[in-house]
Amino acid sequence: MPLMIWWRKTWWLFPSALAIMFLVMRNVQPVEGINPGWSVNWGWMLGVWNGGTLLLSPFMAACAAMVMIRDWPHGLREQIAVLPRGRSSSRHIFAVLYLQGLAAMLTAIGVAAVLCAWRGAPIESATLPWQLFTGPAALFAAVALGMAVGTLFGNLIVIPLLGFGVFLAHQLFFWSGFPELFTTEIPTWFYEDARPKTTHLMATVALNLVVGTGLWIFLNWLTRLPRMRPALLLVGCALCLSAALAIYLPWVIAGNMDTYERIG
Amino acid sequence: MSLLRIALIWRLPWAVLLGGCTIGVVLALGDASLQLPMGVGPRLVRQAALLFLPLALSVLVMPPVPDLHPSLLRASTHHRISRGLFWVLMGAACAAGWLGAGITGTLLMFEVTSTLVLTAAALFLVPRLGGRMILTLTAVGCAWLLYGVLAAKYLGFGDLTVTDDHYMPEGSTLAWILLATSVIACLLASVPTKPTHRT
Repeated sequence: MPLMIWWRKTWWLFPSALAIMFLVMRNVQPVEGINPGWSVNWGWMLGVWNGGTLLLSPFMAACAAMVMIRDWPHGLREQIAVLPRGRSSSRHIFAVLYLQGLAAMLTAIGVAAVLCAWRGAPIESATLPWQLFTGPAALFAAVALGMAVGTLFGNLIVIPLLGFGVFLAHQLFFWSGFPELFTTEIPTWFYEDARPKTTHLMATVALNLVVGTGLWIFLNWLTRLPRMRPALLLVGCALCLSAALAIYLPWVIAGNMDTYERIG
Repeated sequence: MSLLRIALIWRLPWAVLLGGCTIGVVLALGDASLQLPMGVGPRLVRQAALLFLPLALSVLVMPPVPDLHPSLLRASTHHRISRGLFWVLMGAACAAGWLGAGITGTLLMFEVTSTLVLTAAALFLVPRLGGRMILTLTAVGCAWLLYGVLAAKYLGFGDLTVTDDHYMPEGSTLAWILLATSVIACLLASVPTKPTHRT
């Protein structure tokens, strides 16, 4: 039932997220008259599907911040925190937001998979199962970021800041070839004899999960009453962010910028 | 209540800080390419900054106490100061981005129209519909950065991906109408109306 309370406040999120997914997936060039072009290659389709986070993650992060600022503000949180299960709303908000974003992604991949199967696209071009996880992991990190920033600042200015900030974050991660955070690579073409590199996808998933977990722990610390915030949570947050650095830095130090590997 | 306290409640220092940062970014990196995926064409830091600023400043025009605001003595002062600061900062950022940057005519027309349309939408819709409209316009702004150059062709601004001076597109009548409409929309959105605010 608590989930229904938050779902009634954010029901518009799922149709909006679905529209964003189809907006991104629609805008890929055709291949020999076949439109959308990604339907001829499973790897490309999954890449474009994950790449939907290019617009979906900023939207979800800004939306999470808005919900925390408008519907779960500081004063209300402090009054409810002393009640049994008083801090559970953060979990419910996260679940409702993330699941709606995920449902939009799953709907999009359902439609896209039918198209690929119909065209008889080669499944060898996909790096399974890792290509199924990068987008959802990026979405997890984006929602956690939005909730943490919205709770921390409580000012509506953070909505456009987060939206444009997460959108432009791919300027750091997109072209570098290193593991990607919050938004993932969106391929605009495909290779006949190559597919996304497994280690790169694993690193991207791990990076997003540890950053998302770190932000979630920070949010947990923030939503407790002042003077009742355990330092252990901050240590956990710091550990997660250190783990993120430990995942990211080796790629930078090694200059490892290949994101594709040969099939076979 | 001190003037500083009022300014903080009206979010004026935040707005000045964000406006100053945006102007700095426009001056320093305005012509840098954003290297966005999914298309070609001039998608620049300046465009992103000028789409972001009206949304950030739209928080200014939201009354701090929505339910009581129309009944307060300072309601009209808040309206004048917030809109005034909004336009001062927007004007400064636009001047920093467009004056003396050597932008070709059609691209300038496209950027002015894009910025003014989003500005008018922010000024008109955000005080009436609240935070959800900031979120919607933020999503529209990001999508416009991705697809705006593509859409420009269909809106009469021509093919903005052309870089050769001899083949530079010229704005059609539709583009001029859109530009004029965006200017009028901005003027109308700045006119005070009976407020029915929500957050």
